[in-house]
Formats: sequence, structure tokens, C-alpha cells
Amino acid sequence: MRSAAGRLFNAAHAAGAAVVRSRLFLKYAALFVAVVCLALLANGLVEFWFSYQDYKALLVRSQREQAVAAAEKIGQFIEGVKGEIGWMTQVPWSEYSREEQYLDALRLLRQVPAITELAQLDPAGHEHMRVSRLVMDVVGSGLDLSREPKFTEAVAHKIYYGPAYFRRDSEPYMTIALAGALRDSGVSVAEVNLKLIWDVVSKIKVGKRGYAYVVDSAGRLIAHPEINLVLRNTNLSQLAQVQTAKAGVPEGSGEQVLVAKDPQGHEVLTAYAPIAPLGWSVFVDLPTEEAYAPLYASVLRSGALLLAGLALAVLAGLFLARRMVVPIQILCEGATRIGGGDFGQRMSIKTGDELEVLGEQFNRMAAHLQDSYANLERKVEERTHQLEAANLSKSRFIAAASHDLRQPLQALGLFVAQLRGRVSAGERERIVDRIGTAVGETNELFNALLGISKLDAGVVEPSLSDFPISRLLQRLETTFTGAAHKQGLRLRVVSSGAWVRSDIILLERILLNVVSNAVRYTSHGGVIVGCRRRGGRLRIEVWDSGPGIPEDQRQKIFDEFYRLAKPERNRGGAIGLGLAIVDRLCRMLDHPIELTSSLGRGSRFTIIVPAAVPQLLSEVATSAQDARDAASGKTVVVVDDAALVLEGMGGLLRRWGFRVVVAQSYKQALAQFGERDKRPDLIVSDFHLPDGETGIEAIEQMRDGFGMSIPAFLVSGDTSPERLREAHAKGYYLLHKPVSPMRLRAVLNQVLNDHAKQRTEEDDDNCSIVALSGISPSPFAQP
Amino acid sequence: MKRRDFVRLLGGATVAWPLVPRAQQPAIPTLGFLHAGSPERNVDLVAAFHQGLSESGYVEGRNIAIEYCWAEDRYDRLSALAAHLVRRKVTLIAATSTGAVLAARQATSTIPIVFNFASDPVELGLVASLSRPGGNITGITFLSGELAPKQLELLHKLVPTASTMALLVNPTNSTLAESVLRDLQMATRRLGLRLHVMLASSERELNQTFAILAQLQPGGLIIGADAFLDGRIGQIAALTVRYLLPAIYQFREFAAAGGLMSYGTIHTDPYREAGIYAGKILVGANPGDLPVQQPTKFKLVINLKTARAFGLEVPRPLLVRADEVIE
Repeated sequence: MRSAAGRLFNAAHAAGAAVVRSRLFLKYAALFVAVVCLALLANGLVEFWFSYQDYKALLVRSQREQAVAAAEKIGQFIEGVKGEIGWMTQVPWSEYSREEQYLDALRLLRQVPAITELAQLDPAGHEHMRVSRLVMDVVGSGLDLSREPKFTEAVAHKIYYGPAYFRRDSEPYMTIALAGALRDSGVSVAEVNLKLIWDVVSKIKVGKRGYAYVVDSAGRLIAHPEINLVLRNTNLSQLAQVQTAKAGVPEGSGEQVLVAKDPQGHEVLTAYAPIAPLGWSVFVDLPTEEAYAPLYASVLRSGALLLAGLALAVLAGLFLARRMVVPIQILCEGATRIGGGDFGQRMSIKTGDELEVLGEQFNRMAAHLQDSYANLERKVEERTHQLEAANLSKSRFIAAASHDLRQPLQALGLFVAQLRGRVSAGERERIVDRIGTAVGETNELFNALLGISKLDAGVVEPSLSDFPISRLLQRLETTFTGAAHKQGLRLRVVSSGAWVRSDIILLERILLNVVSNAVRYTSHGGVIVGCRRRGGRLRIEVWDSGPGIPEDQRQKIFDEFYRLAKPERNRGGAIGLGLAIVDRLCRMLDHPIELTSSLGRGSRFTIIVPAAVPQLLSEVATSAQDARDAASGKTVVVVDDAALVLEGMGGLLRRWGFRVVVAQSYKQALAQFGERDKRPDLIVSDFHLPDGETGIEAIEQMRDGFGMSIPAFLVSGDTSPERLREAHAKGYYLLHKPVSPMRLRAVLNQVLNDHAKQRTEEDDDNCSIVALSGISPSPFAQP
Repeated sequence: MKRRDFVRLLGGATVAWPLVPRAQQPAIPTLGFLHAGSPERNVDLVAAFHQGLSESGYVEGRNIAIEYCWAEDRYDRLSALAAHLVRRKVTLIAATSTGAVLAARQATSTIPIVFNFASDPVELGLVASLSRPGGNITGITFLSGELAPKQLELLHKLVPTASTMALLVNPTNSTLAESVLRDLQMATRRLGLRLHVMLASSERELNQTFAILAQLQPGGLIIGADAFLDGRIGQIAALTVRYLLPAIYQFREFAAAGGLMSYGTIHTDPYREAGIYAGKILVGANPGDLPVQQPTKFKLVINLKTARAFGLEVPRPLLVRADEVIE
């Protein structure tokens, strides 16, 4: 049952622990992953930034170099054409035969495929000859071209590069005119097909898809690997890079490479270089896609590495967090189980660090707990057995008590029945005597029960004092001499001058019981009471010549209602509680009691009492009974809800000389005094009053009402130890109903005397009411 | 696994990623090839066209199918063949020779046409301009028509004493023939020569023509550009040798086969260019944006053996000018 509950409990806690575990686990894992990832990311980004910069610089340089190289090649091409034409102008016109000129022109055409047409002008600017690949040659046309720029410019600057133009609106052409170094060396005018620059341009390879193209000063496309674009006479002056080139950004400024749109509208990384004499520019374009492809690849690679790194970091983080958290989890679960009562739980953590030590400490703690728990269980079990035994004896006690009570009641019933009939005066007296005896027995039984009850409740506090034992011995002698003589026994009390330290009343009670038993159970011979001094102790011994107590019953005689079998004799008045009370009192006073006995010869009870130093006897009032009768002229308030009790007690008290006020509640009582304007001298209250009030409350209300401390005591039919304890706690006597008139009288006198004495003390040294609680009431009243 | 191996593996994975093969294209396009001649006489030219296509990324049988339509020199069949190709819904028509181009043009105004001929496409109204054709037609012209006066000039240098010249054209290729004739008439007038125009559209007519030429004894013969004639260069060269006719033709093959001289472009070049253009259009270029291309290289080839056999002395300027002299 307990283990099932424990399992449930553990399961519930394990769920809680799992939540916590995942939190801790996530925390550790996240921390680790975050740290590693940050490092990786930072490293990756920095690396990427630097490689990006390096790569861009490299691209810029390489593309720029390509452009310069292309410009050089095209420049060389033009220079080559120029150089070839130069041959035509080296000979002075006058010395150059027309025939030679013609042949040279034809040779030139054959050698330079780019020249489609070549014209030869004389120094005056007249065309003498024109040879062509496409149309018929013209010789001696004499056409006057002296005003044409190709002539004037060539004469002025020795060389003339005409603007690019398009034949039939598609083929790119340029006029190159060259004048000889000599004054009369005529001018050669060549029409150069620029489509042949395509050969140069198309051979320039930039990366995989990069290319070079040439644009003239007006922004028109002159050469492009995609020859269609050239043949379509494309104007590129709107392109950003062409405008930049036209604006003439100085070399090496870094601005020469830029990202722009190419003629087809794709984004390209472009660089250019000027072809100086022509005013043209070579552009080298590389699609950005391709240009940055290695960069992207490297980014992808880095990204992949980073991802792999992150994955590893996560794995490592999870692993480490797990290593960290699993022992903690084991600890947590173990602690939860131990907390849930499973002390057999042991943890196995083999991490070799503080966690392992912690686990071992937990294990040790659990072992300790297990031991203590087992101990506790054993004790509880023992205690339970004791309680059960006590309960059983209580039941037996009650059964016995009710049996013993029934006997005098039965006898009373019979006597009352006899009285109802016709009886003679002598007979009636005899019956009334018997009734008195039965009532006395009942009273005795109740008192004995009350004594046991008081002792069990622990409300009896011994009041120790030093006194001469002779005082008790005398009283024993006076008490029992008559009874012994009646039974034909000899009672001898050996006097002693010893002093003892004990509670005089309780010790007296012990001795009364023991001697009473001895007298009761002894049929012939006698009873001797004497004392022996042994060290610091006094042994008070009670000898009898009774039947003796069998060995096996020597302990039982101290149990309640235990009587030795004694069939031949009327036990008369033996109620079987005497030795039980003796046993309790001796234990309370710490007076060992010894019993020696031999069957048929007699028994000896010995009570061992601490001896005291003898003192001078002073004239002390011997007891409350000797005190002056304080009743005269005093007013007593009696509060009880039972009218019969009020009437009985009121009558009795008035007879004793008290003025009596009876009331059923304290309010009623207060009301009566309010009219009379007098204060009571004593309050006697029932414990249980109507409306749940208690006598204690009633007394206190009245004290408050009169504004002074008034002596009071309680009367109750409730014999429970709690009532006694409550009353004692407040310092009140509690008398149990039925209360004998003598007992009532004794308590009345004592309470009034105590009060008077207390008031005297108060007058003397202002002592407080605390003294009230110090009163040690005699628990037993003499019948 | 060592770290380096792991890194290499990752690197490999990264590089390999973009190389996931693309899905195959569902169907391959079909190209219609329309030619006035016959396949057996044009093997080299078809090969040049294939080469051009492959330069643009197309290989027959792999990612392009080609439907060949040969008119076998019967130019009247070209219209029917062009219509057939249109019906077949070919992706593009590559048309060679003026007649074929005109037939294709007549058959469709939507299917892209790549031409490869000797005429001036602007003059014929096929394109708006050479730089921006504008319609569904573009291609290569090798300017044979325009070159005729130049050819006359070069031939005349070799036979400076001649007073008459003859021109051989294919009358069925009427458009080109007319244009050549017009240019040449102007040129002969300039040089003060008379011109005989000879017509031949079949081998029988060809033989008859040379028989007549043998009687006419012109100073020289200019052979006009034409697919029919192009396919019979060897035969014509032999005829000119047989009848001692100094003749000039546009392709080097003529001089190599024993003809006196040739001036013009390289025969296979325009086919290659046409193949490249066809490829570009197949890839997605708009034919209207592709400018008409013209040849840039012209070659003069002189067969000295033939010249000597004809008793002709080659003047120095011609020798200087000649790119190649066959001894």
C-alpha cells in the first residue's frame, strides 16, 4: 500500500523533475551552442569579409589588365594598318610612278585584309587612283578631295583617323588617311573594315562568359564578339560605363571597374581602357554572376562548414549538457524518491567529480533516514501495544468498578423495599444502619475510584515536608485498634522517634491502606507496624499473620480490583483498590514498596521512605480541622442548575450558621446581591451550568462583578480527570458529587481559612494571588 | 572520419549541388532545309551548315531533327517543297539560293527563315535593312551579284584586247539573273564592251550554250551565281577549257578544277554562318534582330596553267593582287 502510494508520488515528482531537467538541459545546451556558434559566425564573417575584399581587388586588377591588354591589341591592329599604309607615302609623289603606286596599293590590299578600299591622293588633294575589293578600280579620276578632312587633317597631322561609320548602315568602317613625312609625298586614304577588329576582340577571353568590346568616341559599338550587335549599328552612349569612360576618369583611381548593365542589359562587372589615338575605349565585361561565382561558392562552402560546425556544436552542446544534467537528474529523482519515503533508494553516479561525492552523501543520508525510520516504527509498534494493553486494563477496571458499585446498590434496593413494608421500630433501625453501611461502602468506593482517577490524571502533586513518623503511627493505632479488637486480632504499633521526608497526607493514605488490608485479611494472630532505620532510609514495615500471598500473585495484588481468594470470610468493605492506590502513590512519592510473604504464615509490606533530620516540635496548628469555625455570619452563594441540590445544600449550610443565597446562574446570583447591596464570603458552584457555562466562568464573573477575590470551590458530578485539571489550573477545589456533609464542611473551613491566611499574608508582604495555585488540596477526605 | 575528409566531403557536396542534371527537353525541334540543288553535289556545303549549327549548340539527331528538301535543280519545285515544310510545322527553314528563299518567304511569314544566297535582300524586299531585318527573315548574302562588275574588271585585265564578253546565268533563277545582268551591263558599257547573255537551266542547255559560245568566241565568260551552276563547277570548268574560253567564277573550286580564275568568298563560309544563325534563332533569338551578314574575305585565284594553255600572259598587277596562283 505504502509502496504503491510511493510510486504514484514518485511518478508525479518525476514528471516535475523531467520539466526541470529539460530546462537545465536546454540552458546548458543553448549556452554552449550560443558560445560556439558566435565564435564560428564571427570567424566566418570576418573571413568572408576579407576574402571578399581580396577577391574584389583581384577581380578589379585582372579585369583592368584585360582591358589594357585589349586596348593594346586593338591599338596594335590600327598601328599595323597604319604602318602598312605608311609604305605608300614614303616615296615623294614626283618620284613615284603611277604604275608602282598601283602595284603597291594592290599589294597592300592583299596584305591587309581589313582595308577594303585604298585611294591615293596627290599633294594637291586630287585622287589619282582608287582600288577596291568590292567595286571596279578607278584610275586617274582626278577627283578633288583637297577640302575633305581626310586630306587636310592628314596633311596637317600626318595622320588622320576618321570617325567610325557604317557602310550600308551595317558594316563598321573607318577612314585612315596618312601623309608622308616629305612635303610632296601625297596622301593615302584607306577605308578600313572594323569588322576585322572582331578577330581581336573575340579572342579576348575573360573568364567563361566575359568579353571585350570597343566603343568609339560617339558611343557607337565598333567591335563586339557578338558581331550582330555591331552590324546593327548599336549606340551605347547611354550605358553608365561608356559615360564614365567618356568623362575620362583618371587611370588607377579604382573607379574604372564598376558594376553596370552590359549592352544586352545583364549586370556585369566592367573595366575599360582607352585606345589613345582613336579616342575609343575597350570595355571588358564579366557577368557579375560569374565574377562572383567563386565568391558565392566560397560563401556556400563556408556556409556549409559553418552549418557543419553548428551541427557539431549542437551535438557537442547536447552531449556536454547531457553529461552535466544526467547526474543532476539522477540526484533529483533520488532525492524525490527519498522525499517520497523510499529510503532504500541509492544513486549510482560515476562522474568522478563533486556530483559523485554529492550522490554518495545522498546515499549516506538515505541510509541514516532508513535506520531512524525503522527505529521509529519499532517504537510506534511498542507504544501501540502498550496503549492497547492500557486500554484493555481500563476496560477491565471499569467492568470491575461497575460490578462493585452494583453490589451496595443492590443491597440498598433490598433494604428500601423492606422499609416500604411493615417493619418494627427495631427492625427499621437495623435496616437504616445497613443502609448507612451500604451508603458508606458506596461512598468509599467512589472516593477510591476518584483517588485512582486523580492519581492517573497526575493532578496530585506531593507536598514534601519533614515530619516525625510517630504522628502517623499514632493515628494508625487509633484508627485500627477498634477494628482489630472486633476481629480478635492484636494490633501492635511500635513507636519510633524517626523523622521522614514525604507528603504526610499521602504517606498516611498509603499506610492506612496497607494496615487496613492487613487487618482485613488476617483472621487470627495479629498485625505489627514498626520502623527500622537503614542508612538514610526508614523502612516502615507492616507484618501480619494472614494467609500469605502466593508467589504468582504478588504482583497482581497491586492491580485494581484484585482480591485474593478468601471464600470463607465476608470480605466486608474490601473493594480491591487499596493496593492499587498504594502502588500508584509509592511510585509518585518514589517510595519503594517491598513484599515478602510465606503461605499460611503471613506477609510483610515494607515502605521505604527517606529519613529526615529530627527537628524541635513547634506549636503548629495540626490541621484544618482544628481551625476555628469560620461560618458564623458569613454569606455563601450556591450556584447550581439542579433545584434539588440547591435546596439540600442551602438547608445544610443554613443549619451550619451561614447565610445562604442560592441561584441557578451567576447572573441570578449577581442580581440578588445587587438588591441586597452585600458581598458574599464564599462561592460554591456546580461545574456544569446551563448554556454551556462552567462553574469557573461563573465564579470569575461574580468576582469581577463584586470587584474582589472571593473564596470559591466547585462541585461536580463529572469525575473526568480533565475537569479536575481545569479546576486545579485555576486553583479551585473540585468536590465530586455526592459530597458528604463532613467533607463539605472540611473544604468550606479550609477554603475560608486559606483565604483568611492569604489575606493576612497579603497584608504582610503584598503577596499575590499566585499563592492560590500553590494550594495542595487533600485528595482524600476521611469518610 | 578525419576532419579533412569531412570538409572535403562537404566541399564536394556544395559543388555538386548545382550540377543536378536538368530534365530532358520533351521534344526536339525540326529544322527544314530547303535547297535548289541536289544532295550529292552539295555534300561539303551541308557539312559546313552542320558545323555552324553545332557551333550554336545543335547536333542533328541529338537535339535537332533536320528535314531536307532538295529541288534537284528544278526550281519550279521549290514552292511545293517550301509549302511542305510549312505544313510539317518545322521550327525554322534554312533556305539556300534566291529561288528557295523566295519560295519559303511565299510559303510563310511566321516560321523563321535563315537565308544563304547571293542576292541583295534589301533590294528584294525580304528585309527592311541589313542591320535590322525586322521580319521573320535574316541570313547571309555573299554579294555575288554585286561582285559581277569586279569579276568583269579582273577578267578584262587578263584579256585586255577583248571587245565582247559573255554572261552565263540560269533563267529560272530570274531575280538574281536580272540583278546580275543589270550590274554587268553598266560595267561593260563603262569598259566599252559588248555583252552576250547566255541562258542555261539544265545540263542539256548548258552543253548547247557552250556550243553557241564556241561559235560566238567572246573575249571572256562571266559565270553568274546560281545553285544549279554551283553544282556543276567541274563540268563548266572543263567546258571552258575545252572551248578555250577565259572565264571567271566566284568560287575557288572553279580555278582548282581548271577554270581560268575565281574571285569571291569561300564557298562553304556562308553555309557555316547560316548554321550559326539557325542555331541562334532556335535558342530564341528573334530573326528580325539578327542583322544580315556579308562576307569580308574575298579571294582572287588564278590558274596559270590554264592561262598558259590559253596563250594568255597574266599582267603583273593581277599577280600582285592574286591571293593564290595555281601553277
